[in-house]
Amino acid sequence: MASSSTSVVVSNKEKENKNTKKVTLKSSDGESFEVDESVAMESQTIKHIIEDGHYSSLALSLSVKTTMASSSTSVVVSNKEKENKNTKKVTLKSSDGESFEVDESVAMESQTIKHIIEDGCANNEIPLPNVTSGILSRVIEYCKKHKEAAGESEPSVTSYTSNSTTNPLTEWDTEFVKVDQNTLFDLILAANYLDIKGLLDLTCKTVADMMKGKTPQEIRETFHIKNDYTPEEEAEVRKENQWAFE
Amino acid sequence: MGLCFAKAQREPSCASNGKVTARQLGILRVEESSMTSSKKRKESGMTGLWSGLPADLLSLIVDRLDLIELLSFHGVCKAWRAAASTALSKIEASANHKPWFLIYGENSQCHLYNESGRRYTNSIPELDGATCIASHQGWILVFQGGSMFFYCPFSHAKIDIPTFPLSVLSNHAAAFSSPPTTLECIVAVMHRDIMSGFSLYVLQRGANAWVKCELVQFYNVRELCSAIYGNQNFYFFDKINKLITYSVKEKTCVQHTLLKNENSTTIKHLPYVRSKSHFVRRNMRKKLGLGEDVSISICGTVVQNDSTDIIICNEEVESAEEFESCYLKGVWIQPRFFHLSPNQSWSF
Repeated sequence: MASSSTSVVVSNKEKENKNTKKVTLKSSDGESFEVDESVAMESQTIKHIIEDGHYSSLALSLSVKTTMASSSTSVVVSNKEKENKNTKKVTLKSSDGESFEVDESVAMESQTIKHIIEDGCANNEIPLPNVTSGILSRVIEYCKKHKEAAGESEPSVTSYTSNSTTNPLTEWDTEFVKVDQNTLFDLILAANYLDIKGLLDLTCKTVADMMKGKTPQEIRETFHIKNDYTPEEEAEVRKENQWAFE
Repeated sequence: MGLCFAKAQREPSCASNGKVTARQLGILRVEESSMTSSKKRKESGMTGLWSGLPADLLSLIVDRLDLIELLSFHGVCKAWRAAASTALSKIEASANHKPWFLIYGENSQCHLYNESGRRYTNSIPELDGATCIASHQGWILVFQGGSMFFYCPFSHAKIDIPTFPLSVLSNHAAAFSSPPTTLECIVAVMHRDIMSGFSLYVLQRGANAWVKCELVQFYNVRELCSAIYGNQNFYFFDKINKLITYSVKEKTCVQHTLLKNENSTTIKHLPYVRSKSHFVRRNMRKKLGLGEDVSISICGTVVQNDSTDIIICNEEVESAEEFESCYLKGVWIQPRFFHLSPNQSWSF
């Protein structure tokens, strides 16, 4: 049951992020940290700055190095609006009413969403009636990760000392599909509906791998499929499957 | 894909009165219902979940399976059988498959290796004491002390053909023009004996006896290592550079010498490339886990590759050790599943 509880946690996290306002804290040597407002308000100083509403103009100069910035109390707080201007966001709404705000570039990993946005029909929210929140949050996770990886222009993962199996994205993908069958099934349907080729390939490959080396009966057991063959048809099946995988 | 959605209405949020808000309630309710439906799936044993996957998605999964895995998939349930049939016919239609490798010769124990080296095992009594002399598009031609038959190792389909005039074969090269289920199938076997020299035997589809062809004297033709059919001719190659062509129409043989890459217009070009040490060059001994003391006699095949076909020549791979611990036979074969109708036979 661990995997089902994980999905609940994930969707809650997404909910938190959506409702929570973010602030950016800038250290004296120029490094920026985006944190939840609630987190930043652990600092009474920052709490006052925010509550006073003067944070767009106030600058607190202190000699605080980058490494200590996360725990320091004296930093410059910049306006969230300025941040947002750089990354366009879209809101995706799951079938069960959850809204997820993501970077437009991440959302466009889905060809379906890409077409909707390009056709100018996006408006405020893009409703996805075929995808539940639990699955949508996972799909977004996948898209974010793969968008990030694509953004890294340095092809360090293909250096001559490593091969594709040690590609960190491959490892991440492998972990990503370690889910229960219901989730895997829903991911395939979602990847197909949202037209995300990488995710569709990954999930289909996972299912295919689950079948390799198994007899028809073993596949039935793995996937909980009812045998609807007559005894004659079953005999034919047995004739076809005499080659055994060792 | 480019559908226009109506502007989404914002859900009215209830006034917060310190208690759980309507929105929060709504989320809880939804999570509950999604958990109920997944609970429902668990209760019914998830039956119908996977067998209900749409056919186009099933085919995406199935395209990644090799022929044997596909046969397993084929036998799971009726819904999946339909999806498998499409994939099976795709395999039949694709000619560019890397050939699999079949090892036999140790009683009736046989091993099949797919393109990536995965091994499958089966017991095939028909191949006990037999030798494969030709392989083409999934059919192998098998010789067993005089009796001959066509065989498909994947489906175990078998077509007996008339007895061969010789009961023992030494150096030989054989080929057939088309699948033995076609009306125009012709089989030709060139045999080389130290004592009696060369002899050529031809069998037409429907005939009940082999025909021995009159041969002219050949000069300097060494050990035969491959045979292929093309353009109404059978081509027999020796290990070095000699080629014997047999015209099916004229029923005559002509000897030729192969030249390397001459761009003259007076010289005929054959659209083939030969791979003479295919097993050795592909490091197959290691891939198959065969000991150095195993020798193996291999029957080649033809692999279609864009405009040029690649002839994988017959190969005799010697044991690297002084003593040969065991002598195996192998054949390169395309993965095909042939289902025969019950009254399929060589005669019409």
